[in-house]
Amino acid sequence: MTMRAIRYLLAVFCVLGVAVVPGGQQAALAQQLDAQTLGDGMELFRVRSNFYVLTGAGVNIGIQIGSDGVVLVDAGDAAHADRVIAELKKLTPRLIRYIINTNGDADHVGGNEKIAKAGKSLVPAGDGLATILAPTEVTLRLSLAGYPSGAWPTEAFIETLRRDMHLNDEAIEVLHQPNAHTDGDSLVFFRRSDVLMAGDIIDMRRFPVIDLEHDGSINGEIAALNRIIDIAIPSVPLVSREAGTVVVPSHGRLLQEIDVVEYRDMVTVVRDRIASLMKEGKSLAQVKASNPTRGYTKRYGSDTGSWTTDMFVEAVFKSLAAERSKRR
Amino acid sequence: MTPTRIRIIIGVVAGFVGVLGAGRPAFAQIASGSDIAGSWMPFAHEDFVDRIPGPEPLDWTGLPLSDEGRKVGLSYSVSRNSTIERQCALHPPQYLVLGPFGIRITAETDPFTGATVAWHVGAWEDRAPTTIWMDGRPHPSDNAPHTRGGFETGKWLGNTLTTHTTHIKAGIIRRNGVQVSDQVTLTTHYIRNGDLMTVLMFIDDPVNLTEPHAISKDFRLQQETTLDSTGPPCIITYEGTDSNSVAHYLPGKNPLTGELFKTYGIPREAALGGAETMYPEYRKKLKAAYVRPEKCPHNCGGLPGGPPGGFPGGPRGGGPPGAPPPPPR
Repeated sequence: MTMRAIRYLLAVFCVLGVAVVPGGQQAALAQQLDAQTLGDGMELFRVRSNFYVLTGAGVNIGIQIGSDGVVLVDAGDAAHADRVIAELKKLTPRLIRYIINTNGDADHVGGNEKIAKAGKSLVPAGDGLATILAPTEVTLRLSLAGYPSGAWPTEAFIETLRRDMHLNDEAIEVLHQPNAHTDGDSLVFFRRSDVLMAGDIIDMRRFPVIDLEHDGSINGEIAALNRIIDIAIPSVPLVSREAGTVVVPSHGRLLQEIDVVEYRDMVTVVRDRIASLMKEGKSLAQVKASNPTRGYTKRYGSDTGSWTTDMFVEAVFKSLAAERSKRR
Repeated sequence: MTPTRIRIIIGVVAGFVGVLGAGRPAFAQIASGSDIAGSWMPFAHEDFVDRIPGPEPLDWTGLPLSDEGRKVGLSYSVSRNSTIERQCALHPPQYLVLGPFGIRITAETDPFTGATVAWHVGAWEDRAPTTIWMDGRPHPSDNAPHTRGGFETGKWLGNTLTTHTTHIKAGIIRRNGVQVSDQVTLTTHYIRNGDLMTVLMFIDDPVNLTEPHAISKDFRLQQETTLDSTGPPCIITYEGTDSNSVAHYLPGKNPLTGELFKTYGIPREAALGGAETMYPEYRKKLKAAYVRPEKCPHNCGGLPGGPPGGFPGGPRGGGPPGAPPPPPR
């Protein structure tokens, strides 16, 4: 090769290089790909090579994609169902195979019927639509609440507290957490992706909702938080890396184990304070007056909206009182 | 802290660094401004008690704590750190100025333009590495994870690199348990003059602080030593505290609230901090309540067993334990 040819090739390489991959811009692009803004308050995070989290559709929706198809964790609310389907189509041509509901609240199951219709079950039985998987408590709740049968779980599990699957080259554990936020909560752990969908066990916007009407309990909530901490693994022994299990709550930002530890500590401290006051014989009004959420009210509390600080304190009090009366 | 006070602090610190740097021989100077790469060691005597042995429990003097921040601190028990899940949890990026260690900074340059795309502030022991992005990228959305190093972007303003850090995890603001929330943000000024650098940080937490907390730390460039840019591995082991237990004090039950008064005669209201305790005027208010102890029991200005008046190159002060304390200013 002549010197002239070498110089020519170098020049071409440099021009292409500058145009295509200037170092910093390449890194910036990678970061943008990791989090795409979709408009209307929705965002798509690429958490792992085959795992995404869609935010802004009522709840954070987990999306695992592979040769077996698409596995969704939660369907979001009814208002966003068409949009969720459209975003999934942009993401992959694969069929939706499973929707796993982490509980029976409307913002988790509202999209069940439409999204299941857009998919196809792996099991050649029933209606052929994508399978909706949840503990039986969710089925019962949706039927009692008057949801159309197309929104109900088609694969409800009761026999154990865990349902296992192996799809898209990874093990998936659906772990029923009884009596936490409600009686029908599940954690969904994608083992190879190392992503744990935590449902409403964690709500980074506020104190956890203890839904007493649907058999939630404060001690079940703390047990569920501890289970998440037991499953999640941080970056050890090489602590200098930003790595480890990704925990995805239904509401709020993506988390690592230590974030859950902070949240668990907060919930436990408040529970212990209320339990101590109850032991002293304090009434609910006296407990509320003593401000047991002090230190955490500004971060997690609210005086307005669907879940106020007052409601949280009352739920913890009543939950502990119910347990005490059961023990007697 | 008011903007005027912040400007005054930046001006004073920049001036101080300039004065120190002006005394250096010309050949030791490095072209000013835009290069902070290197291994930087801190001055061990600066804020010695806070950074080396660690502050007394519940010494929150000079911290602009909100009532919420104070309540979180009062419920804190140090046993919490012994749980399996907390042992290897690193401190957040503000530990760069709170902790005792040095830093190694390296530059990441664009291979074609040579422009600095990012500065990498290496990890050390119990602090994660941080990247200061210089390419104008936006900060991530609210739903993005908060990382151990946070998300930091920077701009040069003259000779000072000013950065903004978001997406930080909840963590300490002083090395005795009091902490800021996950809503904390940092504004940091890396002020270099020759082989000296001051890192001046404003820690702002709308939850646990009522005003930004300003803290600075000075470093000297090492000419012959290279610091590591990663900390050692962390091995989790059972330390006697069960996993899933949350050690804490119930309201009114923290046994350490009178500690600072017993040891140094500092009244509880001052020990528990608050914005007022940051400012010099507070000394006048405190004077009436301050009871000077007869003897200084520890942290009297020198290392235990060290020479009277402190250790060579270390802090001036009251000498070994038992020595009379310095008169109040």
